[in-house]
Amino acid sequence: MKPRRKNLEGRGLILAGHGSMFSPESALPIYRHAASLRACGAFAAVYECFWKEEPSYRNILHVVEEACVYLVPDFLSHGYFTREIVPREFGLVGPVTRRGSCEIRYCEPPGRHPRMAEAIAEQAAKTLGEIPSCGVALLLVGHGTDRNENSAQTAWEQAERIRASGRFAECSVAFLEQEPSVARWRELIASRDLAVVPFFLSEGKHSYVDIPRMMGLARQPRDPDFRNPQTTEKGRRVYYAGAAGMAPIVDQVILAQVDAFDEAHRMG
Amino acid sequence: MKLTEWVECRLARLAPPWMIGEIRISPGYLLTHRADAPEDPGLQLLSDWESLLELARFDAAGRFRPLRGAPGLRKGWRRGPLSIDELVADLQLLYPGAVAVWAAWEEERLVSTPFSETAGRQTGLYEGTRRLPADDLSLLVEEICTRGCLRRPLWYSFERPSGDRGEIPLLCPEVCHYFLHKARSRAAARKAA
Ligand code: SF4
Repeated sequence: MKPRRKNLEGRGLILAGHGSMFSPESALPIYRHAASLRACGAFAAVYECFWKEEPSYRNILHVVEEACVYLVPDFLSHGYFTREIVPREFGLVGPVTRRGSCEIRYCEPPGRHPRMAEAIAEQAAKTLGEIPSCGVALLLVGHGTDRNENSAQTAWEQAERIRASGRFAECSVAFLEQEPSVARWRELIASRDLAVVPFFLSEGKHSYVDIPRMMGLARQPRDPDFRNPQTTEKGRRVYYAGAAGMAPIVDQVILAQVDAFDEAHRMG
Repeated sequence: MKLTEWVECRLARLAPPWMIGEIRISPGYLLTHRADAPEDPGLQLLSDWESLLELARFDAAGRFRPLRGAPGLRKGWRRGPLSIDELVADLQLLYPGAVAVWAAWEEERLVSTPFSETAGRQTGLYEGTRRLPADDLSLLVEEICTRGCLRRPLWYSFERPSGDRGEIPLLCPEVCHYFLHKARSRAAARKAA
């Protein structure tokens, strides 16, 4: 990780994830981001906590010791959890909250930061290997119509950044549960070859099963004989990438959100 | 005082080995399952955080453990020697919050949150927990907390930990999500009946 221009010494970082009581993979990216940010030493301490797993949001407040902590909701977009649950459980009153001797600075989710576009592109590039990305389309696939997250808007914004970067032949967005549906990928993408990046924080049923099934792919990432690329009708090649939130640089995107908070609120 | 310093001083005043939940902490900070003999050469060394996380999150049959306080931690491993910082970090993975809550308890600054307050804040899926009858609550505490978890639900009944020598108490100051989830199912079943 690059050296930091700002000294965060003495400050803590809380990553608040969703987690799951049934799907162990849901919390994994949060554990990874926390481990990587711990290793980079920018913060005095890094804490992970979850809505549906231990430690809970409430529990972590017993553990935090620093006088100033950044609270980053480890989500791809704003929604019910970042706007309602996290503020309520942490007792937030605004961007800056004092709780006893602790100041909590509530940052934006990493999925909304402009650098998240790099994480998405990185996932696509990884699956392409030696293939030049400029001849391949990137298809970003989100959930859509979720009463809990407004990820669709965020997915469009990130796709626009990727398009503007010129790194791929084209960049389109599709969804599982709203239009344009990922089932229509053949109409949405003009290029012969495409890299598919699930716009999800963690791997799970949506990325492993639902998207490949709706795309009509013969193999799903968990199948033992899964290979990249899969060649479909008319010789179109589909490269299936890992979920956006699993990109190794998401830890840097989180750091960027911490910096963005202090810049936006003119805090040191 | 930092939590790590507090733990170091506190452990020094207790006779080792120190026990927390299903974990034995031997001097030099070596961790094993409390049912394993720490000197057993057959114990597998867990050297990285990923393997410790696996241990905390999956049982011997590979099933996910959504409740860290539930008995059933895998045996046959060892970890350490650890620094005090590493010890506190490891315990945070195994029994999240337990060490900090223990310190707060001993320093008489632990505030527990009654069920009605936690349930009263809920919205969406968990709003139904507000209407859970008191009888159902005590049945659930018996089933989930007393029989299914090693923590003591201070949010339900105030009970002074036994203070056995070398035993670090596992205290629960506020109902966990696992419990809320069960309470929600119970409240929904009541409503449907
Ligand atoms: S609420 Fe009950 S089951 Fe949940 S952690 Fe506390 S004691 Fe254990």
